[in-house]
Amino acid sequence: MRTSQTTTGLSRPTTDQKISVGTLAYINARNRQREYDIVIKEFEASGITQATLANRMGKSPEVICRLLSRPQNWESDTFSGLIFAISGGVPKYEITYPIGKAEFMSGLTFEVKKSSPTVGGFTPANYKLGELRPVGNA
Amino acid sequence: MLRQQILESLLDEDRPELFELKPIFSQDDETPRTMYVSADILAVVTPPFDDTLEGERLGKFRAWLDDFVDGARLSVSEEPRGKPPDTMLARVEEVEQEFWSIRVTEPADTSGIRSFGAFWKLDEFVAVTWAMREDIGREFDEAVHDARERWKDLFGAVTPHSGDDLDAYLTNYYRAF
Repeated sequence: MRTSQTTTGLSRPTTDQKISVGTLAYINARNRQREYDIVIKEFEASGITQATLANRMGKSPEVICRLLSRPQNWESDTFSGLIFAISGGVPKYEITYPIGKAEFMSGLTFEVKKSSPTVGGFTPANYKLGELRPVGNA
Repeated sequence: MLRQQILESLLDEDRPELFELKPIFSQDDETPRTMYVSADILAVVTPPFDDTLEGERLGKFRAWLDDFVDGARLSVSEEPRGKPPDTMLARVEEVEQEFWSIRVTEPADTSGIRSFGAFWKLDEFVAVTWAMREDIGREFDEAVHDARERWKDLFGAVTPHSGDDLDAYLTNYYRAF
Protein backbone atom coordinates (compact mmCIF):
# COMPACT_ATOMS: atom_id res chain seq x y z
CA MET A 1 0.00 0.00 0.00
CA ARG A 2 1.17 3.48 -0.84
CA THR A 3 2.34 5.96 1.73
CA SER A 4 0.73 9.36 1.28
CA GLN A 5 1.20 12.44 3.36
CA THR A 6 -2.37 13.40 4.13
CA THR A 7 -2.45 15.15 7.48
CA THR A 8 -2.76 18.90 7.18
CA GLY A 9 -0.51 19.81 10.08
CA LEU A 10 -2.07 23.24 10.11
CA SER A 11 -4.26 24.15 13.02
CA ARG A 12 -7.18 26.51 12.90
CA PRO A 13 -6.57 29.73 14.81
CA THR A 14 -8.60 29.57 17.99
CA THR A 15 -6.79 31.86 20.42
CA ASP A 16 -5.11 35.24 20.24
CA GLN A 17 -1.79 33.55 19.62
CA LYS A 18 0.08 34.97 16.63
CA ILE A 19 -0.11 32.91 13.46
CA SER A 20 3.38 32.04 12.29
CA VAL A 21 4.81 33.81 9.27
CA GLY A 22 5.44 30.37 7.84
CA THR A 23 1.76 29.49 7.94
CA LEU A 24 0.76 32.82 6.44
CA ALA A 25 3.43 32.42 3.76
CA TYR A 26 1.85 29.12 2.76
CA ILE A 27 -1.72 30.43 2.77
CA ASN A 28 -0.89 33.62 0.89
CA ALA A 29 1.31 31.93 -1.70
CA ARG A 30 -1.45 29.49 -2.55
CA ASN A 31 -3.98 32.30 -2.80
CA ARG A 32 -1.71 34.23 -5.16
CA GLN A 33 -1.38 31.21 -7.42
CA ARG A 34 -5.13 30.69 -7.49
CA GLU A 35 -5.80 34.30 -8.36
CA TYR A 36 -3.20 34.07 -11.08
CA ASP A 37 -4.66 30.85 -12.49
CA ILE A 38 -8.12 32.40 -12.61
CA VAL A 39 -6.89 35.47 -14.47
CA ILE A 40 -4.74 33.53 -16.94
CA LYS A 41 -7.50 31.04 -17.64
CA GLU A 42 -9.93 33.87 -18.29
CA PHE A 43 -7.41 35.74 -20.42
CA GLU A 44 -6.66 32.75 -22.61
CA ALA A 45 -10.35 31.88 -22.99
CA SER A 46 -11.12 35.45 -24.04
CA GLY A 47 -8.79 35.39 -27.02
CA ILE A 48 -7.86 39.03 -26.54
CA THR A 49 -4.30 40.26 -26.76
CA GLN A 50 -2.25 41.85 -24.03
CA ALA A 51 -2.36 45.05 -26.10
CA THR A 52 -6.16 45.03 -25.98
CA LEU A 53 -6.13 44.36 -22.28
CA ALA A 54 -3.66 47.20 -21.81
CA ASN A 55 -5.94 49.57 -23.72
CA ARG A 56 -8.98 48.54 -21.73
CA MET A 57 -7.19 49.07 -18.44
CA GLY A 58 -5.47 52.25 -19.50
CA LYS A 59 -2.07 50.77 -18.76
CA SER A 60 1.02 50.25 -20.84
CA PRO A 61 1.60 46.87 -22.50
CA GLU A 62 4.70 46.51 -20.37
CA VAL A 63 2.67 46.76 -17.19
CA ILE A 64 0.17 44.17 -18.45
CA CYS A 65 2.98 41.86 -19.51
CA ARG A 66 4.47 42.12 -16.05
CA LEU A 67 1.12 41.54 -14.34
CA LEU A 68 0.51 38.38 -16.36
CA SER A 69 4.05 37.08 -16.10
CA ARG A 70 3.75 35.21 -12.81
CA PRO A 71 1.76 34.92 -9.59
CA GLN A 72 2.32 37.97 -7.46
CA ASN A 73 0.90 40.02 -4.67
CA TRP A 74 -1.78 41.83 -6.67
CA GLU A 75 -3.84 44.44 -4.95
CA SER A 76 -7.49 43.50 -4.75
CA ASP A 77 -8.33 46.25 -7.24
CA THR A 78 -5.80 44.89 -9.72
CA PHE A 79 -7.30 41.42 -9.52
CA SER A 80 -10.88 42.54 -9.98
CA GLY A 81 -9.86 45.05 -12.64
CA LEU A 82 -8.09 42.39 -14.67
CA ILE A 83 -11.07 40.04 -14.55
CA PHE A 84 -13.50 42.73 -15.55
CA ALA A 85 -11.31 44.10 -18.31
CA ILE A 86 -10.72 40.66 -19.78
CA SER A 87 -14.27 39.42 -19.92
CA GLY A 88 -16.63 41.63 -17.96
CA GLY A 89 -16.53 39.06 -15.19
CA VAL A 90 -16.40 39.65 -11.50
CA PRO A 91 -14.85 37.30 -8.96
CA LYS A 92 -17.14 35.06 -6.98
CA TYR A 93 -15.92 34.72 -3.45
CA GLU A 94 -16.37 31.64 -1.39
CA ILE A 95 -14.73 30.69 1.86
CA THR A 96 -13.83 27.10 2.51
CA TYR A 97 -12.66 25.57 5.76
CA PRO A 98 -10.13 22.88 4.94
CA ILE A 99 -9.02 22.52 8.53
CA GLY A 100 -12.45 22.76 10.10
CA LYS A 101 -15.00 25.44 10.78
CA ALA A 102 -14.92 27.76 13.72
CA GLU A 103 -17.53 27.06 16.36
CA PHE A 104 -19.59 30.08 15.37
CA MET A 105 -19.77 28.75 11.81
CA SER A 106 -21.17 25.39 12.81
CA GLY A 107 -24.05 24.46 10.56
CA LEU A 108 -23.69 27.53 8.39
CA THR A 109 -22.43 28.04 4.89
CA PHE A 110 -21.30 31.40 3.72
CA GLU A 111 -20.86 32.69 0.24
CA VAL A 112 -20.44 36.14 -1.20
CA LYS A 113 -21.65 36.69 -4.71
CA LYS A 114 -21.23 39.85 -6.66
CA SER A 115 -23.63 41.10 -9.27
CA SER A 116 -23.68 39.66 -12.74
CA PRO A 117 -21.50 41.51 -15.22
CA THR A 118 -24.36 41.52 -17.69
CA VAL A 119 -26.57 43.65 -15.47
CA GLY A 120 -26.75 47.05 -17.07
CA GLY A 121 -25.34 45.76 -20.32
CA PHE A 122 -21.82 46.93 -19.68
CA THR A 123 -18.87 45.23 -21.23
CA PRO A 124 -15.24 46.22 -20.76
CA ALA A 125 -15.05 47.42 -24.35
CA ASN A 126 -17.79 50.00 -24.03
CA TYR A 127 -17.61 50.74 -20.35
CA LYS A 128 -16.99 54.34 -19.44
CA LEU A 129 -17.10 55.95 -16.09
CA GLY A 130 -20.28 57.96 -15.79
CA GLU A 131 -22.46 55.55 -17.72
CA LEU A 132 -23.46 53.74 -14.57
CA ARG A 133 -27.10 54.10 -13.75
CA PRO A 134 -28.98 52.86 -10.76
CA VAL A 135 -30.98 49.72 -11.38
CA GLY A 136 -34.44 49.83 -9.87
CA ASN A 137 -35.21 52.20 -7.07
CA ALA A 138 -32.18 54.18 -6.01
CA MET B 1 10.89 -5.50 -11.89
CA LEU B 2 8.71 -3.23 -13.97
CA ARG B 3 9.18 0.51 -13.79
CA GLN B 4 5.88 1.09 -12.01
CA GLN B 5 6.54 -1.74 -9.58
CA ILE B 6 9.77 -0.06 -8.53
CA LEU B 7 7.92 3.13 -7.76
CA GLU B 8 5.26 1.28 -5.82
CA SER B 9 7.91 -0.49 -3.78
CA LEU B 10 9.49 2.85 -2.89
CA LEU B 11 6.10 4.10 -1.76
CA ASP B 12 5.28 0.99 0.23
CA GLU B 13 4.08 1.93 3.68
CA ASP B 14 6.13 -0.72 5.42
CA ARG B 15 9.41 0.92 4.50
CA PRO B 16 8.75 3.98 2.39
CA GLU B 17 11.56 5.77 0.61
CA LEU B 18 9.21 8.15 -1.18
CA PHE B 19 5.95 9.77 -0.18
CA GLU B 20 3.11 10.92 -2.35
CA LEU B 21 2.49 14.46 -1.23
CA LYS B 22 -1.14 15.45 -0.89
CA PRO B 23 -1.93 19.17 -0.69
CA ILE B 24 -2.70 20.51 2.75
CA PHE B 25 -5.92 21.62 1.18
CA SER B 26 -7.17 21.22 -2.32
CA GLN B 27 -10.05 22.46 -4.44
CA ASP B 28 -10.89 18.97 -5.62
CA ASP B 29 -10.46 15.46 -4.35
CA GLU B 30 -8.87 14.39 -7.61
CA THR B 31 -5.66 16.25 -8.27
CA PRO B 32 -4.36 16.84 -11.80
CA ARG B 33 -0.74 16.14 -10.94
CA THR B 34 1.27 13.97 -8.59
CA MET B 35 4.31 14.84 -6.52
CA TYR B 36 6.51 12.26 -4.85
CA VAL B 37 9.03 13.51 -2.32
CA SER B 38 11.89 12.05 -0.33
CA ALA B 39 11.74 11.81 3.44
CA ASP B 40 14.15 14.76 3.65
CA ILE B 41 11.74 16.96 1.78
CA LEU B 42 8.68 15.66 3.57
CA ALA B 43 10.27 16.52 6.89
CA VAL B 44 10.71 20.20 6.04
CA VAL B 45 7.44 20.81 4.21
CA THR B 46 5.24 19.25 6.86
CA PRO B 47 3.60 21.92 9.04
CA PRO B 48 3.74 23.61 11.42
CA PHE B 49 5.88 26.26 9.75
CA ASP B 50 7.82 28.33 12.23
CA ASP B 51 7.36 32.00 12.94
CA THR B 52 10.77 32.68 11.44
CA LEU B 53 12.20 33.56 8.07
CA GLU B 54 13.10 29.91 7.60
CA GLY B 55 9.52 28.95 8.40
CA GLU B 56 8.32 31.49 5.87
CA ARG B 57 10.61 30.04 3.21
CA LEU B 58 9.52 26.50 3.91
CA GLY B 59 5.89 27.59 3.83
CA LYS B 60 6.52 28.95 0.34
CA PHE B 61 8.22 25.69 -0.62
CA ARG B 62 5.22 23.68 0.49
CA ALA B 63 2.90 26.06 -1.36
CA TRP B 64 4.91 25.45 -4.55
CA LEU B 65 4.59 21.69 -4.17
CA ASP B 66 0.88 21.84 -3.37
CA ASP B 67 0.25 24.19 -6.28
CA PHE B 68 1.99 21.71 -8.55
CA VAL B 69 -0.25 18.88 -7.40
CA ASP B 70 -3.32 21.08 -7.75
CA GLY B 71 -2.48 21.69 -11.39
CA ALA B 72 -1.45 25.33 -11.09
CA ARG B 73 -0.07 27.20 -14.08
CA LEU B 74 3.71 26.93 -13.96
CA SER B 75 6.35 28.97 -15.71
CA VAL B 76 8.86 26.56 -17.15
CA SER B 77 12.22 26.97 -18.83
CA GLU B 78 14.04 24.34 -20.79
CA GLU B 79 17.11 26.54 -20.79
CA PRO B 80 19.35 25.78 -17.82
CA ARG B 81 21.03 29.15 -18.29
CA GLY B 82 19.57 32.54 -19.11
CA LYS B 83 16.10 31.92 -17.74
CA PRO B 84 14.06 34.65 -16.04
CA PRO B 85 14.81 34.84 -12.33
CA ASP B 86 11.24 34.02 -11.31
CA THR B 87 10.97 30.85 -13.42
CA MET B 88 9.20 28.22 -11.35
CA LEU B 89 10.59 25.05 -12.93
CA ALA B 90 13.71 24.75 -15.05
CA ARG B 91 15.83 22.09 -16.63
CA VAL B 92 19.33 21.72 -15.26
CA GLU B 93 22.48 20.63 -17.01
CA GLU B 94 23.15 18.20 -18.46
CA VAL B 95 19.83 18.39 -20.23
CA GLU B 96 19.95 14.81 -21.46
CA GLN B 97 19.99 13.62 -17.84
CA GLU B 98 16.40 14.89 -17.54
CA PHE B 99 16.75 16.58 -14.20
CA TRP B 100 14.86 19.69 -13.19
CA SER B 101 15.05 22.37 -10.56
CA ILE B 102 12.01 23.41 -8.57
CA ARG B 103 12.61 27.11 -8.05
CA VAL B 104 11.06 28.74 -5.02
CA THR B 105 11.99 32.35 -5.57
CA GLU B 106 10.18 33.96 -2.67
CA PRO B 107 10.32 35.62 -0.20
CA ALA B 108 11.87 38.27 -2.42
CA ASP B 109 14.55 39.27 0.07
CA THR B 110 15.95 35.74 0.14
CA SER B 111 17.78 33.67 -2.42
CA GLY B 112 15.01 31.10 -2.33
CA ILE B 113 14.98 27.33 -2.27
CA ARG B 114 15.90 24.81 -4.93
CA SER B 115 14.67 21.25 -5.04
CA PHE B 116 15.94 18.79 -7.60
CA GLY B 117 14.26 15.86 -9.20
CA ALA B 118 12.82 14.49 -12.40
CA PHE B 119 9.55 13.62 -14.02
CA TRP B 120 8.28 10.12 -13.56
CA LYS B 121 5.75 10.59 -16.31
CA LEU B 122 3.43 13.28 -17.59
CA ASP B 123 2.39 15.48 -14.64
CA GLU B 124 4.17 13.22 -12.14
CA PHE B 125 7.36 14.46 -10.53
CA VAL B 126 9.81 12.96 -8.06
CA ALA B 127 11.63 15.52 -5.91
CA VAL B 128 14.64 13.89 -4.27
CA THR B 129 16.74 16.70 -2.74
CA TRP B 130 16.35 20.28 -1.59
CA ALA B 131 18.49 23.11 -0.28
CA MET B 132 18.41 26.78 0.53
CA ARG B 133 19.83 28.45 -2.57
CA GLU B 134 22.55 30.24 -0.61
CA ASP B 135 23.75 26.90 0.74
CA ILE B 136 24.24 25.68 -2.81
CA GLY B 137 26.23 28.75 -3.72
CA ARG B 138 28.49 28.16 -6.69
CA GLU B 139 28.28 24.40 -6.28
CA PHE B 140 25.10 24.15 -8.30
CA ASP B 141 26.39 21.37 -10.54
CA GLU B 142 27.41 19.44 -7.43
CA ALA B 143 23.92 19.79 -6.05
CA VAL B 144 22.48 18.44 -9.28
CA HIS B 145 24.98 15.61 -9.22
CA ASP B 146 23.89 14.73 -5.68
CA ALA B 147 20.29 14.62 -6.84
CA ARG B 148 21.16 12.28 -9.68
CA GLU B 149 23.02 10.02 -7.27
CA ARG B 150 20.02 10.02 -4.94
CA TRP B 151 17.83 9.06 -7.88
CA LYS B 152 20.13 6.15 -8.66
CA ASP B 153 20.00 5.06 -5.02
CA LEU B 154 16.24 4.93 -5.28
CA PHE B 155 15.57 3.77 -8.79
CA GLY B 156 18.74 2.00 -9.85
CA ALA B 157 18.92 1.82 -13.61
CA VAL B 158 15.45 3.25 -14.13
CA THR B 159 15.86 6.63 -15.75
CA PRO B 160 13.63 9.69 -15.53
CA HIS B 161 10.82 10.34 -17.92
CA SER B 162 11.86 11.78 -21.25
CA GLY B 163 9.79 13.45 -23.94
CA ASP B 164 10.05 15.27 -27.23
CA ASP B 165 8.68 18.56 -25.93
CA LEU B 166 7.25 20.16 -22.82
CA ASP B 167 3.80 18.79 -23.54
CA ALA B 168 5.20 15.36 -22.78
CA TYR B 169 6.08 16.50 -19.25
CA LEU B 170 3.45 18.91 -18.12
CA THR B 171 0.00 20.25 -18.68
CA ASN B 172 -0.97 23.82 -17.87
CA TYR B 173 2.37 25.51 -18.19
CA TYR B 174 3.81 28.47 -20.00
CA ARG B 175 7.30 29.06 -21.22
CA ALA B 176 9.21 31.52 -19.11
CA PHE B 177 10.64 34.27 -21.28
